[in-house]
Amino acid sequence: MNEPYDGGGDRGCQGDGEGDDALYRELDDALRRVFPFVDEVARRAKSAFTWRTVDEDLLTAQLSFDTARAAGPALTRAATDGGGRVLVFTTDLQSVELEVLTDRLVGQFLPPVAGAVDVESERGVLATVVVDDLGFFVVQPVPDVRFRLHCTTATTRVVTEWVQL
Amino acid sequence: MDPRPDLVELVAAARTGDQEAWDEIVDRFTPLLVGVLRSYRLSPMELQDAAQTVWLRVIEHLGRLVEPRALPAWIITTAKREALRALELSRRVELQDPQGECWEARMVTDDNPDDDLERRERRAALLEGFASLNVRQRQVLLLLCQDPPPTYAEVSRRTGVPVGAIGPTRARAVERLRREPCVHALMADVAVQPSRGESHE
Repeated sequence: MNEPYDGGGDRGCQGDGEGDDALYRELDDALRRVFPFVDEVARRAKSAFTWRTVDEDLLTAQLSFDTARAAGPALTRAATDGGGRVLVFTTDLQSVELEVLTDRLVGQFLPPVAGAVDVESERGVLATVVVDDLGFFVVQPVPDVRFRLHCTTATTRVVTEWVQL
Repeated sequence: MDPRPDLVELVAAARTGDQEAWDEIVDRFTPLLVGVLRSYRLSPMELQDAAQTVWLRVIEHLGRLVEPRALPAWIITTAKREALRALELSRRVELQDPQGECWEARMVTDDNPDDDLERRERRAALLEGFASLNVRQRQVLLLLCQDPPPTYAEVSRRTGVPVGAIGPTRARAVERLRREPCVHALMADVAVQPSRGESHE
């Protein structure tokens, strides 16, 4: 059996002896059920944080138009003086469609726009593929681990949710 | 005096990429997460995958979490969703290949089919309360729950808590747990609830 308690201290802490005993048994039961999984789940969760820390927002709208840049240096000063500078943030990617074929994924950006896709696993980037002017891209082979797509266009970066096929 | 950083502080630190803060969040809430997932008939591998998906979602969600104290509730909801999703996925696989490995994996779970909802909710509340304990209290309780339990000397070696302080640490942890709001609600009937291993038939 276990070694004995340090008697006095133990008893001194018991606020509600019987209730605490029952509570402890119930907690012990709950912990017993999770114990075999806890270490591995925690280990994987901790290492998932290291490869990429807290993400940028899933949809990052980027600065697509700025009168200060568009107008050139001379006009920029004028615009700044007048307080009439205009900035436009745009995302031009509304959805990413993925078709799962036996040997590859075929995807499309909608509305059609060129760009690039990083296929990311928990450990890092698996592949980077080019997206053509019609928004089409191909990922080959089909990832056999959980992944997400980090999609980049000229004006937008979007990260999809994680999926496992 | 209290070595437990507030959850609000932990979330704020984790948002800035603080690995230690993230590790602490993971250590606190992994038992709760696993506890919720264990209520479903997932194979060990499905459970690990579902757990990891939940944690990945938490990472994504951290920046947008308006009220960090809602994190436990968010974890519970997300875990239930992921467990159901995993079950759905595995059912599809089984239909295609009823003799396959997945079928055997299903048998590995030791979940009690008679496990009623109330009991699951009670366990979840206790594991949520467990997250509010300090590191040493959590370590001691987790080590002691093993069957057979390790000797106090072994617990002491692994946690740095002196042998004579292990009993008191456990007692203080339980007392602290009793005061947690999520556990407090259970206390009215905890004394009359049978706690383990009884038959339902």
